[in-house]
Amino acid sequence: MNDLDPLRIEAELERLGASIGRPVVVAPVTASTNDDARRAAAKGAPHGASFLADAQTQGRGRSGHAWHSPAGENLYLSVVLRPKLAPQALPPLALVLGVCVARVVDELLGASPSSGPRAGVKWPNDVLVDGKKLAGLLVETALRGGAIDAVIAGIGLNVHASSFPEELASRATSLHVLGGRGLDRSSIAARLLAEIGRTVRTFEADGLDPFLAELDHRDVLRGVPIDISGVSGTAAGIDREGYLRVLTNDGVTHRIGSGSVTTHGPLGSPGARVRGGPGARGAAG
Amino acid sequence: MNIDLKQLRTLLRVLEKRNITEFEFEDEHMRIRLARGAGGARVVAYEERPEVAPAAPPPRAAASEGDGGTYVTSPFVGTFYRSPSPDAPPFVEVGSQIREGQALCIIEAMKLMNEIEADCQGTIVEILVENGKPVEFGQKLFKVRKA
Repeated sequence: MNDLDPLRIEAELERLGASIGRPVVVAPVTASTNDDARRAAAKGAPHGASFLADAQTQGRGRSGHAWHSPAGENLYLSVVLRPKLAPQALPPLALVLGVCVARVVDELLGASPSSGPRAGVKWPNDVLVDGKKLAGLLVETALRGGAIDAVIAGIGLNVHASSFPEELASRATSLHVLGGRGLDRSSIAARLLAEIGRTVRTFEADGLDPFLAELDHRDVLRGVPIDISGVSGTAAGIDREGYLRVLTNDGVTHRIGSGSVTTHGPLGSPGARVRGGPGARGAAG
Repeated sequence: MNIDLKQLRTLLRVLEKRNITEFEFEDEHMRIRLARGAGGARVVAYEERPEVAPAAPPPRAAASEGDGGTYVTSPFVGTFYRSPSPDAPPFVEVGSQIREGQALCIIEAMKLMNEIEADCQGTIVEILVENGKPVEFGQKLFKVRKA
């Protein structure tokens, strides 16, 4: 389905009053939109320049894990950001972008404040619905002599896919599978970009604080037994600096800043701990 | 704490005014000795002392000068990766010639992948952290001999 059209994306960005997204480059096929964005950033692409592709041949998740990227099905979007932030303030950016994606997903799935959020965030860079992965974030930056040149935020969001390869079927889902209707990748891209533009401004001004309550609502790891970076325990929330808190059997809480999470039990549901839904857009939008 | 020019002038003036011939001050930051002879007051000795335990390392992926080499340090708390993906070859090895802007490693923090680039041309003399190990803010990662 060819619903990825740069002219329609631009028109939508205009309509939504998006602060980022332009220029928009859409490729029929590319190795990885993050690589396209990185190359463009190195040549001076401005804050907000966005790169999409109908298909990726070398789509990547974290640590170079392949991201299933067939043509016509999903959204592969990378945006060049030039945030006014010190390098050490950057790490929670993937969490914040996860919140952006989760908000847009909730809109697309018709989740309302009364029904509660459907999209959960799995620390630090995945967006899940019903315990299955719907979107992933890959945030890359380069530092030379302590200065940030550009940050590349890449999003892979499963949109139209109706089936997945066997090895992914139990772990992956799409907006279509979840019952999203009238799905249009151009419109979704513009909504994501508008949300990212707003969110990055908030993050630049106030850091992670404005997102903490929503992250807590959407945290699907809390209460789940996990292993990460040699620590085994129960995920106990995300702290003010974006670290994952892990409570071990001996009652010690560890703060984990990097590593891959292995879960040993079903993931939680977003908003499960709070009555009356997230109020997410009101609280942090 | 450094002494500035204004403070120094004030000190010298006080010395002359009070007819003091010699003055010495010392604390954990510095030592200064002033003396007054026929030609007026002058600084005899002045030394600054490095901080014993700095509150925090410099907040940048700075290359800091060491014994004949330069160190590339970590800008974050995170995990050190020598290659772009687990099955890819390392960015650099000991002995690699590097040019400015070349990627040396990735520091990952909360899945923000930070590629650390060389800020000078030179040779990798030593790699100070093992692949996949956690690193602290300001920790030395590579020793580089500048070209």
